[in-house]
Amino acid sequence: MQNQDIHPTFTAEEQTQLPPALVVDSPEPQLLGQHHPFHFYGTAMEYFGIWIVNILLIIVTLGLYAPWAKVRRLRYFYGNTEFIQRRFDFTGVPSKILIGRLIAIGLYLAISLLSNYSVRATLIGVLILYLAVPWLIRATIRFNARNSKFGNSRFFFSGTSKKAYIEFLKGILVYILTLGIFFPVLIWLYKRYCLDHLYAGQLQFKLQADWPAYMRAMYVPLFLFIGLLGAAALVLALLADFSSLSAVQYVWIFMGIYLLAALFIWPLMLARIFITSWNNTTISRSQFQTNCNQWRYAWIVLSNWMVKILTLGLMTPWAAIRLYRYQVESLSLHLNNDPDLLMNQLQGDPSAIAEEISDIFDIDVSL
Amino acid sequence: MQQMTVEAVFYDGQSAKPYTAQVSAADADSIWVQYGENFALQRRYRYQDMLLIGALGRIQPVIELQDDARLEFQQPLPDWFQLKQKNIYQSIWKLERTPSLILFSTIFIVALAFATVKWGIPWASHVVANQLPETTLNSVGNEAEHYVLEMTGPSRLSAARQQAILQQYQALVAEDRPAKLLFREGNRLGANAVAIPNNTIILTDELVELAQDDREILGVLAHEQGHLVERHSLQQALASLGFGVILIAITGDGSDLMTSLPLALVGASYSRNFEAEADHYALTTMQHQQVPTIHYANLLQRLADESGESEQGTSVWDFLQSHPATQERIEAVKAFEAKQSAEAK
Repeated sequence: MQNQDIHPTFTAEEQTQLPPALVVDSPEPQLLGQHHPFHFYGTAMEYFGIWIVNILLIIVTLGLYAPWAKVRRLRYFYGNTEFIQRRFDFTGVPSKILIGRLIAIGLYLAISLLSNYSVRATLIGVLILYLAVPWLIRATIRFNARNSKFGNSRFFFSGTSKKAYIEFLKGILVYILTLGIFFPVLIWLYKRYCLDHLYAGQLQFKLQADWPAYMRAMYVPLFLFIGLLGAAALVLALLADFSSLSAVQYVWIFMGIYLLAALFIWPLMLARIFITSWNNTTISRSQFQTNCNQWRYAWIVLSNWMVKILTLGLMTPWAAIRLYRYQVESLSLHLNNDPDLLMNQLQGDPSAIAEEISDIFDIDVSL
Repeated sequence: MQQMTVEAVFYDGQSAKPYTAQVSAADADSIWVQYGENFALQRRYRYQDMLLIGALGRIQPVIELQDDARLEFQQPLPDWFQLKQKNIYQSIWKLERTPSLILFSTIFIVALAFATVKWGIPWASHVVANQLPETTLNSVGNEAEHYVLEMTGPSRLSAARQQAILQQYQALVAEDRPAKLLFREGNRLGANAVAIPNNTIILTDELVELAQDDREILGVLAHEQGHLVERHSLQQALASLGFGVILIAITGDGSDLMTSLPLALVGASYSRNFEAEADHYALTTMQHQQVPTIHYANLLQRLADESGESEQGTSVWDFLQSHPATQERIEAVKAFEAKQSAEAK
């Protein structure tokens, strides 16, 4: 009965007296030095209900409920993701997101109205928006990180705005100087900026892959595509001697192969980027791994598109769950850091937390 | 008080370790959290210092506490739990799991989406466009005019010919809102006429030459006049603005390719409606001024022949075009004629 106070000063005393026994029986020694998989417990049926009822609530409240809906959707994915019997969570406060949204809509309206009066003013508005992109990206990553939890450990993003602009500039230079051929380097720059400044508790993420890995990830599908077309043309040319198909029919068959293969390029690139990133990411001394199959992943992305279009968007929840489940369940972490020793960043400096939270520019604009 | 105790997972805010804890009521304003070995450690928290994160699907309620501690419940919050926002979160959670509401939402949203795209946005942009001052798009129009003038050359038509067309336009089409009529050599624009929202109509020499009868030109001018009178440019701008706001409000994201593709299709179908509306305006005007509408059909036919559009040209791709297929428009003119002559009898 000694703890009448809300902010008690018992810490040191308690911890020296009795090392707190774990009751969620986590057999500590076995955790370290082993691979542990990630699990996902969400189902498409359950998520559909949440998704559609939240859209209804958005309509009924004339859009004001949207941030609450967004947080509930995000939480559904985070909260159903589990690693070593601990869940993730998203703790973002919807009213803060609402402010961000209102600012974004205000900007959008302002630029749209400007475009009614002068093309030059519109161009300036759009230019300013583009110049703000790195800053917006950084603010969004930071907001999302700070509001993401593993167990009770917060994520934290230490990337600065200055660094965001430097990386952005590098990306533009690389893009222009190589005429867009080195586009994958931009993705590498972005992933590296996101991961290398990300912490779970005090443990820092690191992207170990270098830019050539991303060049491979994106160009292999393209070369495969070109190779496949060449092979198809060759086979069709050989067949032409034996069969009675007309030239027009050959063109149709070739176009069919072309279209189907072309549709696969982008999903396959996404799959290879995912695999490249997660097989080369470490958090402190622990190594991530994915046993994701690129073809399976690409097929999921491609068929998701088709299903969404055919059902006019109604199967979006199913598609989202399907892809997320595949991504999460392919992941595992070779654990070499004690998850019980995670420390929240900035915890010792409450004024820093307060400052961050009161900062109205630390908003989520959902880029 | 034993029956009042519920189990929960507790994070104490210092260690990242989860504890099993027992939560019980302390008094009307606060609760006890007992955790650690034999539940020997305990803390007291006031309801007013709690941030409740409600249940979601099979995820049970979570409470974030001021000292960075966290309580994850294993079941719904007990009745004795006095947290104010509890009931709101509980009812949202229930709504999301009610099959009848899910079914209703689905039907309602599909119907609403359809109605909004088909009638709601066109209607709203029509109403708003008519509320706004006539000069709303003047500056945009001036810049557009500038571009069109740059693209085209000075007219080669004689001043007398220009004057004749202008007089006919003012007498038969302009009514009480005459637009500025400009003649230009079309060059890349070819045989064409353009209505610009600063109340300007640009007519190309090529079109004047293509016409075999001045009444055909009148039809075209009446069509462009229709665009101006109905404020189609403004309606179009407002409709796309409305879509943008709705999309951002719902998804918080307007950059998705998959969402912008259907949008482009919807936009194209609106333009088709505007063309049909302007055609209708032209026909009514001609009818009113006792100009035979067949002249308009004739010019459309010649334009189609000129651009090589064939009789069999109608296909699924028509849906994607911003102008209705010319053949379709000619049919509409003939249908209008038939209807008018039937009414006259």
